[in-house]
Amino acid sequence: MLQTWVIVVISVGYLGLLFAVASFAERRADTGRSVINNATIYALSLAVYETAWGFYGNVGTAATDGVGFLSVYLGPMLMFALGWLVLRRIIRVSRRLRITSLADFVSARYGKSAALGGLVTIIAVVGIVPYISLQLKAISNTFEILRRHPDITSTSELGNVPLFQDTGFYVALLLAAFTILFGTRHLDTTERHEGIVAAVAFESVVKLVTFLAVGIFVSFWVFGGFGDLFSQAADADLTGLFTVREETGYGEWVWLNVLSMLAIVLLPRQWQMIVVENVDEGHLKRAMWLFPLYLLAITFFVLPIAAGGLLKFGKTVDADTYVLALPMAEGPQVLALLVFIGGISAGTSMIVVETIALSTMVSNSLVMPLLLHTRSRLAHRADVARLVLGIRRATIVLVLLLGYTYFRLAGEGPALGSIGTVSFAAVAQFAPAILGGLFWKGGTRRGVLVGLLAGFAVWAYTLLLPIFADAGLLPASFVRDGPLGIELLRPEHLFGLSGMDSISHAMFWSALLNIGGYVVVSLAGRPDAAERVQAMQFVEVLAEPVRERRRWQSRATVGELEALLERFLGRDGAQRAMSSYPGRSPESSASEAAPELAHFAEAQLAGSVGAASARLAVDAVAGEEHIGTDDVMEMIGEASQRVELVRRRLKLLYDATGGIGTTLDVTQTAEELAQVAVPRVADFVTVDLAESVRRGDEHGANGTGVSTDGVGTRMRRLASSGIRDDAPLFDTGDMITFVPSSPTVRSLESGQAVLVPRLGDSPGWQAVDHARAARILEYGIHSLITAPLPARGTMLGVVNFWRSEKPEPFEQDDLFLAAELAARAAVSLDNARRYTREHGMAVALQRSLLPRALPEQNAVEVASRYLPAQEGVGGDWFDVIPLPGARVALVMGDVVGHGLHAAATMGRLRTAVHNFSSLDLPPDELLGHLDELVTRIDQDAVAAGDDTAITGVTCLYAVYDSVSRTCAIARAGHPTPALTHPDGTVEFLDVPSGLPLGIGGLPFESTELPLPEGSRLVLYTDGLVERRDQDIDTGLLLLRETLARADQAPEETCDALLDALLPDVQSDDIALLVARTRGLAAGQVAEWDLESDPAAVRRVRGAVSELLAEWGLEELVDTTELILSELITNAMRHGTGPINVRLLRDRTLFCEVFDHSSTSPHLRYAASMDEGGRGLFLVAQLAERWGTRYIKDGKVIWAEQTVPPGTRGS
Amino acid sequence: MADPRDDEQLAGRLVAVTALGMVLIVPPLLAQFDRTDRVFGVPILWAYLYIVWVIVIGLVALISGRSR
Repeated sequence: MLQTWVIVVISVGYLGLLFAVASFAERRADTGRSVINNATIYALSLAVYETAWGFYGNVGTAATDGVGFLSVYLGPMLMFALGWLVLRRIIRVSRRLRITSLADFVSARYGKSAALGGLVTIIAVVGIVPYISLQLKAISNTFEILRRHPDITSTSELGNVPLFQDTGFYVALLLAAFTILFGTRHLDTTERHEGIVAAVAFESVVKLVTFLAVGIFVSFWVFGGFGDLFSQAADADLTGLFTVREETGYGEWVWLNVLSMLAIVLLPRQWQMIVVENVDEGHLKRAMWLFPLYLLAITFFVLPIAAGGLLKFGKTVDADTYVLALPMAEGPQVLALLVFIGGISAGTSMIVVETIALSTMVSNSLVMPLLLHTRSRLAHRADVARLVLGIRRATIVLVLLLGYTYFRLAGEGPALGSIGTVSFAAVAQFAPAILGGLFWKGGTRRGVLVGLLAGFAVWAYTLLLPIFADAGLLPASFVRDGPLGIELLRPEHLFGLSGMDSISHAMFWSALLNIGGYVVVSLAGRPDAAERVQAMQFVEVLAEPVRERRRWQSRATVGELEALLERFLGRDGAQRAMSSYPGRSPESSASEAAPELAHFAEAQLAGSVGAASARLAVDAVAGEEHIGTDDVMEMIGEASQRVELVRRRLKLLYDATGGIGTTLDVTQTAEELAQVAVPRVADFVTVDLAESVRRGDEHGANGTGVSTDGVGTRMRRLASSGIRDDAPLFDTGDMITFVPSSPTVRSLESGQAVLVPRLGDSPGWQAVDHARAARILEYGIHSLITAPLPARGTMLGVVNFWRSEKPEPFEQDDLFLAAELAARAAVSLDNARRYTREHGMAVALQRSLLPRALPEQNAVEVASRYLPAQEGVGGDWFDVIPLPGARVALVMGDVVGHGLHAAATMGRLRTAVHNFSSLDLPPDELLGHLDELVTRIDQDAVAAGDDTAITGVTCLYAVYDSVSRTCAIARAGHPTPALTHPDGTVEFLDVPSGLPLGIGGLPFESTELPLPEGSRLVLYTDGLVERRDQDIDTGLLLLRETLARADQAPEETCDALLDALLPDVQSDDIALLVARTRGLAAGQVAEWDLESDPAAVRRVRGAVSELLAEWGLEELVDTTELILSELITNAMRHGTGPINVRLLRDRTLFCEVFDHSSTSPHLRYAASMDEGGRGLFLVAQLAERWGTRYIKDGKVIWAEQTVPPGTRGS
Repeated sequence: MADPRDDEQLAGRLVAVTALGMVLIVPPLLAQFDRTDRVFGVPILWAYLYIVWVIVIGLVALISGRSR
C-alpha cells in the first residue's frame, strides 16, 4: 500500500532534484564551465521528444495498432540521418541571424514579416495546448492510479476529481514555477537555458532507465522471455499486433512516418532543443545517430509490454496505463513508483520546454510587435526587459492553465495517442514555409501566408473539430452529417473523399492546400527586395556569410542605442552586448552611432525580442519611426537598383579598358572609343581630334594639340559610331571649325566634360553649323556630353556622346561616366600618337640609310626590295658596290632587333662596308674588319651603360668579277645565298657559315666559284624565309621552287619571290637582292705579258694604240699610253718577275698592271730635280681614279679613265 | 570549417542512407515482412524494423564519425 503522502513526497522530492540539477547547471554556466556544451547531453536533451504520450501512450497505441506505433519513431530516424543537410542549415541560420524561435525563423525568412511570426505563433499555441493538457492528464491519472494501489483502476473509472484535489492542477502550478524560474531568469540574446537543458537531459536518462526496467521486468519476470511472451500472444489471437497491415494500414503508416519526420524538427520544444539550445553545431554529428539510438532503446519493450498487458488484463485496464499497471499487479511497489517517476519525467520535461518555446514565440512574435506597432513610445520606456520577461512569465502561466482547462473540459476524450498525432499535424503545417524557405529562394511572404492559413484551416476543420465533437464540445451530428447537414463538408470526408483514415485524410487536404498555396502564390508574385536579401541569407547559409545590406544611415547616438539595449536586456545584458561589439568602440555616448553599431544593436535585440520587433525598436530610436515597412522595402529596392547601376558602369569601364587601345593606331583607337560607348552610354558617339594628333606630331609650342586661329578651333572628325548610320552629324574625315562659345571649345579650355542637357537651348553648339544643327535636332538627337581627351597636360581632342532614343536628357551621373571613359581612352590615344611619331621617325631614318638607287655598273643586273616590319623598323641592309676591274660587290646584312638602335647600327655598318670595299679587300678580310668594328661598337655601348648592346649582326659579302666570271663569297652567320644556274637549276651555295659579327673567334673564309653568264644570285635576310608559324626549311623549299619556276629578269624574280614568300603578318623586316651576272665579252679585254725589259714598254704602247683605235677610243690613246708606260716602268723598277698588262673596256676604260711584288705604291710630289717619282702623280692626274689591289701572289695597280660620251657602249 | 567538398560528400552519403532507410520502411518492401509469422520467437516485422533501424543508425554513425 502506497500512502498518498509517500507518492507526494517522492514526486515533490523528484521535482526538487530537478531544481537542483538545473541550478547546478546554471551555476556551472555562470562560471564558464557549461555542462551542456557536450554532444551526448545535446542528444539526450533532444529526447524531450519522448513525452508522457510516448511513455504511457505508446503501449496503448501498440495494444491496438501493434507494430504501427513505431512510425512515430522511424520518421525522426530518417530526419536525423538528414541532420547535416537540414538541421545544420537551420542551426547556422538561426545562429547567424540570432533567431530564437520557430516563429521568428519564418518571420525572418520572409522579409522579417511580423504578420507571419504572429500567425505561426497562433498556430503553434492552438496546436500544442491540447498536447500539454495531455501531459497534465497523464501525470494526474497515473497519480490517481498509483494512489489506489494495489487496486488497478481503469482511467475511465477515475471520474472527475475536484479541482483542488487534482494532481494535474498542482503539477501545472509547480511546473509553471519551475519554468519561470529557469526559463525566464534573465533576458539573454541567445535565449539559452542551461539549467533546463541539463534537467531535461537528466530526465531523459530517468525515462530510459525506468522504461527499460519495466520492459525487462515484464518480458523476463512476468513472462519467460520474448519467445514465451509472443507465443502466448499468438495463442491468444493477438497476431494482429505483429503487423502493420491489419491494424494500422499502409496509408496511415506512411503518413505517420512523414508527420513524425517533420514534427521532430517543427514541434516548438524540439526546435528549442535542436536549434536554440544548441551550443555547437558539431554536436549534431553525434546526435544524428545517438538520438535515434535512444529512441530505439526506449521503444524496444513497447510491443512486449503491450502484449503482456493484453494477456494479463485484457480490456479491463486502460492500455495506456499498462506500463504502470503491470508492475503494480505483478511486481514490487518500488518499480511502480519508478515508472511513475519516469512518467513525471517525460511529462514535465515536455511541458517545461514547450512552454518556454511558446512563451518566447508569444512574447517576441505576437505581443511585442503588437505593442511596438501600436505604441512606439514603448521603445523609449525604461526597462523593457522587465516587460518582456513579464510577458513571458504570463504566457507560461497562461499556456499551462489553458492546457489544464482543456484537459478539464475535454475530460474523458479519446486515447492519449490521437491528440499527439493531431499536434504533429498542426506543426507539420510549418514544413513548406521552413523547409521550402531553406532550399528555395522563390518563396514569398504572401505565399506562406496563404499556404499557412489554408493548411491550418483544413487542419482545424478536419482534425480539431472532430476531437471537440468527440469530447462533447460540439454536436456529434456535425461530424456525422456535416455542418448544417451538408455532406460534402463532413470534416472527416471532406468533399466526399473517403476510404482514408482521419490522419491521412487531413494530411492530404492540408498538405495540398498548404504547399499548393505557398508555391502558386509565390510563383504568381515576386519576392521583394527584403525577401530576396533574406532568402539569400537562408538558402546560401552554408556559403560565405552575406552581409545584410544597411537599410539607411542611422541617426541615433551611441548613448541612445545603449539605452535601448539596456531597456530590453537590462543593465548587465546591455553592457555584455556592447562589449562584444566587434567594431571600433565608439568614443563617447553622445557621438552619432555608426550604421554598423545600429545594426549590431538590432541583431542583439533580435535575439531577445525577435527580428521584426528588433527592427521596429531600433527604427523608433534611430528617429526613423515614421518610416513604414513599405518605405523600407522601397529603400532597399532603390539601393539595390543603384548597386546594379554602379555595377553596370564598372563593367563598362572595364570593357572599355580592354576594348580601347588594342592597336597603336590613332584612328583605330578613336573608332574603338566610339564603338565601346554605343549603345550603353549614348546612342551616337563621335570623336574629334586635332590634326597634329592624327599625324603623330608632338604638341605645338603652345602646349596644346589643338590649333586655334581667329575663326575658332579646328579639329578633324576621326571616328563616329551610332545605333544608326543616317544621323546628320558631321561625317568622319570632316574638318570642323568650332566657335569659341561651342561646348567643344569650352570643354577643351576648362579641361572638364561639358553637359548640354538640351541641344535646342545651346546657341553655342548651333553656331558651329546652323543648318546642320537644325537637321540634328530634327533627327531627334537632343542631349550631348562633350568630354575632353586629356593627355599629359594637353588636350588631344574631344569625344561627344549624343542621346536620341531616351527622352530624358543626360544627367550628372552620365557626365562622370563620360569623363572617366574619355580619360581612359585619351591615354590610349596618346600612346598611339606617340607610337605613330616614333615609328615614322625610325622608318624615315632607315630609308635614309638604305641605298636610294643602286649604282650603275655592268657586271650584274640587279633588283632589290626592302620591306620594313609592320611593327617598327629593323636593321636589314643591302648594297651593290661597283669595284674596279669590272667587278661588283654585293652586300646583305642584318642587325638583330628592331627600332632606332638597330637602324642606327645598320647605318654605321653600311658605311664601314663601303669604306672597306674601297680598299678592295677580299670578302673574308672585309668581314674580319667588320667583325672588329662591331665588337668595338658593342664595347662602347656597354661602357656607356647602354643595355641594348647589339646581340648579333649577320652579313654576307660577295665579289663578282665579270671578266673571270667568278664570284668570291664570305658570310658571317648570314643565310646562304641561292644560285640559279642559266639552265634553271637552283642550288643553295655551300659557303662556310662563319659566326655572326661581334662574337669574335674564328677567321672568316672566302669561297670562290665560277658563275656562268646569266646566273642569278639571290641574297636575302631571314625575314623572307623564317616565320613563327613555319619551319625555316619550308621557307627555303618555297624559295627554291619559286626560283626554279622560270628564268626571269631580276625585277620579276623579286616580285615572284615576294608573292610566294611574303607572310600575312610580317613580323621581321625583309631585304632581298637578286643579281643576274653578265660577262665582259672577250673583245673587251686585252692582255699582254711582259718581261722586265724597257723595250717591252714600247711594244705594248704600240699594241695599245692599235687596240684603242679598234675600240674607237682614239682620244684616249695618248693618256693611256702615258699611264701604261708609267705603271709598267714602276713595276719594272720596284717589282720582280714577269709583268701582266690588261685593258678592260667597260663603261670606262681600265688599265691594269700586275706584278709580283707586294710593296705598296705611294703618290709622291717629286722634288723638281728628281728623275723618278713622277709616275704615280702623273697617273693620278690623267686617270679618273686609280688604286691598288692585292691578289694571291702580287698586286694590281689600276687606273680608270672615263670613256668620252658618244663612244660608250660600243 | 571543413572543406566544402568533404561536406558535400558527407551530405551526399547521408542522403543515400536516408533514401535507403526510407525505402526499407515503406511498402512494398515493408509488405514483404508484414506477416503474422515469428522468427526466433519474435514477430517478423518487429524484428525487421529494428534491424533496419540498427543498420541506419550504424551507417550514420560510421559516416559522420569518419568525417572530421
